[in-house]
Amino acid sequence: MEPVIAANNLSCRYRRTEAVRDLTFAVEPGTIFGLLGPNGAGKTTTIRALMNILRPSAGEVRVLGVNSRRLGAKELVEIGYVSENQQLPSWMTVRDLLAFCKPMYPTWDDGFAAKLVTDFDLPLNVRIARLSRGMRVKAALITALAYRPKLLVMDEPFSGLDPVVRDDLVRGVLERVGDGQWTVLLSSHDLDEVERLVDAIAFLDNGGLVLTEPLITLMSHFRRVEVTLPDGAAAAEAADPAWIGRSAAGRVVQFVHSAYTGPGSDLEIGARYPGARVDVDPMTLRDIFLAVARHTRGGNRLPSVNAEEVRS
Amino acid sequence: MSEMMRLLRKDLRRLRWLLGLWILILVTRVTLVGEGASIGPDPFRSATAFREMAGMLAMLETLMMALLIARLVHDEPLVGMNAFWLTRPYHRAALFSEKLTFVLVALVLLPSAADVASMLWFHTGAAAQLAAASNYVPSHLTSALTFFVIAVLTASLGSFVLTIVGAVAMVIALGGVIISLSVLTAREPDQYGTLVIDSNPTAGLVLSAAFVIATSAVIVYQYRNRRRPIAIVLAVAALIVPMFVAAWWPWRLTPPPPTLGAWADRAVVRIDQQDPVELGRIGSDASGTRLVVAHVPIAGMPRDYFVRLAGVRSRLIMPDGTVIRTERTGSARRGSHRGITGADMPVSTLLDASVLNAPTSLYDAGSETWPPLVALSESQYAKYRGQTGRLEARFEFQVMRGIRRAVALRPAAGFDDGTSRFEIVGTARQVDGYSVEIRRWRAQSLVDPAFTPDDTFVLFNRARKSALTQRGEQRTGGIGIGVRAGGALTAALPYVFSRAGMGLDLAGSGTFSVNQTIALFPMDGSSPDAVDADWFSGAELMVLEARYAGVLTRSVSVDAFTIPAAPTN
Repeated sequence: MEPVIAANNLSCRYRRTEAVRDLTFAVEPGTIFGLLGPNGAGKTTTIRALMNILRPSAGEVRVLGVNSRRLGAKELVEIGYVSENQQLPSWMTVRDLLAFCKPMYPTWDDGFAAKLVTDFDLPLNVRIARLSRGMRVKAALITALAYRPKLLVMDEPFSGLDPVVRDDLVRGVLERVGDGQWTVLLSSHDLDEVERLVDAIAFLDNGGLVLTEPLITLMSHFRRVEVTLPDGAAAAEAADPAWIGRSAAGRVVQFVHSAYTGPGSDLEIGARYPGARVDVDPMTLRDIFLAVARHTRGGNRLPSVNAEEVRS
Repeated sequence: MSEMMRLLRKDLRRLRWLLGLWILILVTRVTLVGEGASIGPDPFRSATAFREMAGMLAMLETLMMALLIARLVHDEPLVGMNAFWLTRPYHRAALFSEKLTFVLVALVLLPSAADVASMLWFHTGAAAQLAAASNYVPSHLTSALTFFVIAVLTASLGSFVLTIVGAVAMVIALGGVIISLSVLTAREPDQYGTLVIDSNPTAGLVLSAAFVIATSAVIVYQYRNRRRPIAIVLAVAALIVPMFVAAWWPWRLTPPPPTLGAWADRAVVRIDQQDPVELGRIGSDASGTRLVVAHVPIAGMPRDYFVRLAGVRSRLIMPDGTVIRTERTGSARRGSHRGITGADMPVSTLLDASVLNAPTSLYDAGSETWPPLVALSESQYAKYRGQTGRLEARFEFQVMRGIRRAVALRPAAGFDDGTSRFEIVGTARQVDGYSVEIRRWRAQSLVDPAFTPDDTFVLFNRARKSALTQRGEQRTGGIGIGVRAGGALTAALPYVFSRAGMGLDLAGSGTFSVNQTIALFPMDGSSPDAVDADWFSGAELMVLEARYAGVLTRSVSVDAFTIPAAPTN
């Protein structure tokens, strides 16, 4: 099945600054895909390119089978878009906004829209200009969900929202996407929420792609390793390039194993640190993100991971 | 409902208050034009106030137009990446059509309707309405398109305002640079100016058309492609290119200037060499010029024609072979000399009547115009004064025609003249004379040449063959429509271009104007017996208009032309 989004060597420039370079990734149908990275990594630029807001300087993105440069009204009927930066028509009330959007979408579902309004506890007769930021995101989300788009693109939707609103939105998205008929592309640096949502991720940093893979695989091959050396033993240098973010304090050596395969990796660590006590712990997405970001910012690259080996 | 109509409904709803204010301004303008034309006697303060209000209203109208367009376009901005519409299924063609429709209806059609209403106030006919419409519709359109272009290149009202301020500052700075450079590199002014009055609005027409096409192209491009850097380049080109197109446009789109009738072929011009006059040194320095003027009568010129200006290209061949060349227009005004060519037309001559108060002329009261035949330097004058040579001169005479129209001396009497009307509003007997309140409205089409009425009013009693001339007036009202705050900038363009060595005549930019004045006819100098109540009851108002008729050209040679030995006076 053709990916819903397929970026191929995508590069985007703002005058002399290359915001995104040589980006290649694919979003499969029915998945929630997280575009992750620190501020300035190129997430928003990537989304703008795929939404045909920004013209790529090289490469291309295909969205729903169409080159993003040719994305027009016909394709946008099937795409929902929510962004932290999006300027809603602030002079309208929520009711006006829904009434204005409805005729644009043949698949608009009044009942669904009404349910979303109720679920999000959104006042219909208040002008958007007077809504809080969280309420505005909810209003945008309703106008992006009510027609059941094939693709929902969300650019930092949780940024700056309080935990209750964030939870509302996450639940809102999860409940609706749960049937697998929708595909969601979500950019965020709010990793706790993302971890609950996404099926696959792409890590961007400094305009480049650091890694992209399904979340389950990612979580399985990243481990935090703590080695407690025996008395008098010297801490040896890390031998494996997959061991990243190594630090040593006294007899304790810590690092992240970015290609952990289970017993094979345990044996490798044991051989490197004979007689030492080795503790291997799973990592959260946030921890993985931080480790990878710190590692790649020094100009380092992650070694490629053998997916078969990881699965075994 | 189509997408375009849905967007239009949305914008109408969003901008309803501004639209209401816009309509209020237009209604106020209509009222002001109607009422401003007839404020009444003792009007100076009111007339000034009305003119100030009209100016303020014109500025307000321009500002409101700018604000409406900015608000309209920026609801779906074409600049920036966060607009709501960019990620929604808008058809750009529908969006463009909607914005264009709004602009055309609200900002071109509505002001045009106000212009129609303003003119209807004065009971203008269909011909005048059409003539003026051909002028003010393009005027509204170019104003709207100018703001439309700036709006599609900016993302917000703030950047829109800053762009306008920046653009105006840039144009002023550019104009200043051009004028400064031309002043610094200025040559001696040409002494021979053209005598043909040819107010040719072709350049204005071409400029307007090219500007409309160019700005429309920028707007369409931006709605299709949304690429600001290229659109800015196109917009700058749209500002500059039409000016050059207009300046160098080779074909005339309007009728040529009038030419004299068949009499001109038979007219005979001669130099009255009995009475040449040397006027004395002209110029304050030692290298001043001496001008020799002479009486040049024209035989065969009809009675109602007269010469206003003369130009001479001559050469005076002295016995020693020296050739003194002269090229000059203009005239030396000498009240004490007799007229050279009937240089003006006394009312008494024109009406064949005696003038009971101070005499006046149709063109220039009490002065005569003598053409400069020979211009000599101080050294030439010192050498050749009193000597005789052969003079070969080629004359050009700017000929005017005096047009007389009689109007009964009662309110509402008047006459139509093409797309204009002259009428009497009221008359009043004063202690020391008579006053007539006069209104003249004029509608000008896009192809009409610029026109400044040059009327003289005379009270004429046909039975008694006597007249009272006008000796003053009070402006009591008058207002024009189709004048915008940007008009000053447009008016500055021809000047900047002429300084840059390119012709750009934007004449014919008026639309519809109303002037109302009280003409005063005092009896000073006349016998109270001669001007009694019966005299006024039998009098009519003569409207004497001096209208440009054409240029008469003749070559004349005089074998023995003597340079005066000394100034005559």
